[in-house]
Amino acid sequence: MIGLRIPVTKRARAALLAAVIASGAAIVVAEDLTVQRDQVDVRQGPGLLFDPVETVGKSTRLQVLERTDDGWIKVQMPDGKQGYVFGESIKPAQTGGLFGGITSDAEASQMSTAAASKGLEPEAEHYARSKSYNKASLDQVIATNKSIKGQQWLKFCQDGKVGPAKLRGTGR
Amino acid sequence: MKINTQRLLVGGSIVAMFGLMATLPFNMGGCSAGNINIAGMVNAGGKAFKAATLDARHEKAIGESVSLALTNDYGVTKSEQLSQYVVLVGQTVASRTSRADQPWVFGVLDTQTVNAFSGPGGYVWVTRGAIEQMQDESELAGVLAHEIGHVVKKHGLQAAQQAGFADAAVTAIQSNNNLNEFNGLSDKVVDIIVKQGFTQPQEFEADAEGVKYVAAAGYDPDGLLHFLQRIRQKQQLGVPNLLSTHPGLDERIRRISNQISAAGTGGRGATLRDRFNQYTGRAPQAASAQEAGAP
Repeated sequence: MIGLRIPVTKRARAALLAAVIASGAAIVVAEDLTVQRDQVDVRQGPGLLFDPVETVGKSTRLQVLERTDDGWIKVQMPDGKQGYVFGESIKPAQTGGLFGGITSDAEASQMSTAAASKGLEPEAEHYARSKSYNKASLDQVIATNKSIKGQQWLKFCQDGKVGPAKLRGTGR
Repeated sequence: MKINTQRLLVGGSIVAMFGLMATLPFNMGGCSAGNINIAGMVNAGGKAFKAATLDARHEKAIGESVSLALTNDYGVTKSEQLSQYVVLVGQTVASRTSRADQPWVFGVLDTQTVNAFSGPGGYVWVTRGAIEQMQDESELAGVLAHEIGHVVKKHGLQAAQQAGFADAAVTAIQSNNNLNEFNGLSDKVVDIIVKQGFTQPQEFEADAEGVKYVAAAGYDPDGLLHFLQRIRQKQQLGVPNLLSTHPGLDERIRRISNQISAAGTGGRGATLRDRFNQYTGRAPQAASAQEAGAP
């Protein structure tokens, strides 16, 4: 049995993800969407804390598999891999040409920032130096935030029956 | 620059939200207190806020500046368990906002002062003292949701604009990466968020947003209400404080209560007291004792 060869941690993760996927009522729609921003992370689960399966670039066409009322959409990428994107980051494919630039530069920048999100911005570093601020405490907090991954959050949501409806098992 | 603690007690973001004591250093004040020209804010409502359109990278940098000011002055909790808990609750609430796919940072400031803050770009801070006044996870979620509301509505950047930060300076920051102008904008935002507090209309809006977020996340929205009522009750018991002259807390409680009643969500949803006690290291009996006399 294939599952027996999977390390325990991975098997547990797979089971959790399967539970998440099974818990929601899938709304299957034949629809293609196009990435409108410079890049969008397609994630393992419907939440920011889930690791990206892949990062896709602008104009990539994604097939919609399922939508949740939490704003996340399960999609299939051109290479067949599946994952979740946040609805705000993609638009219907047919509007891509006419409204290709519909997202603002600020939004595009936000996505890039979300993808990068590494440490403090240079301006903040400069601000800290100019004020002689010690940034060790902030670095510590940022490290804690980054240490929490999707699976931990998923379990937290499921245990408390809170969070996105899909994660807490209400299937909405 | 070290934050002037005395001023801090009079300001803050959720500032209007808390004021407290216990062993507690009283703090709090009013976002809506006389430091900000509310009329000016209203008048400015018809004009596009350029600062509010600052690109995300610079917005994040401003939030980092605010966070640097706070963490430099207070430090952060040494409890990794508490830190992670606040991140998990914060992310749970943030997942139900229009910014669900944007980076968020949640942290606990190591001070007995009862307060919470937010900085542009998704930085949310709650003090150890505020957490000590809470009784369950829905209250923590409610307080974080209020701060998340400020971020989603870009109140920090709007406040800088209202305080007179020029559009030209925003352009200089964004187009030319002018560090001096950036520092100037950071100073403005830090001053408003950390010392003065937001305007009362902004606090009302953050409350309304927060109540929606927590309900959508499956928490009992009464959590925020219970927390504010507890603060108000302690205030009325005569603790000498600045809140006694704060005009907004009763009105905020009234508005939140009306909103929850209209939505029919009160008393429904998770409160998770046991999990709150577990993560905060609070013994159940201590929690029970604290409940006595609380709303």
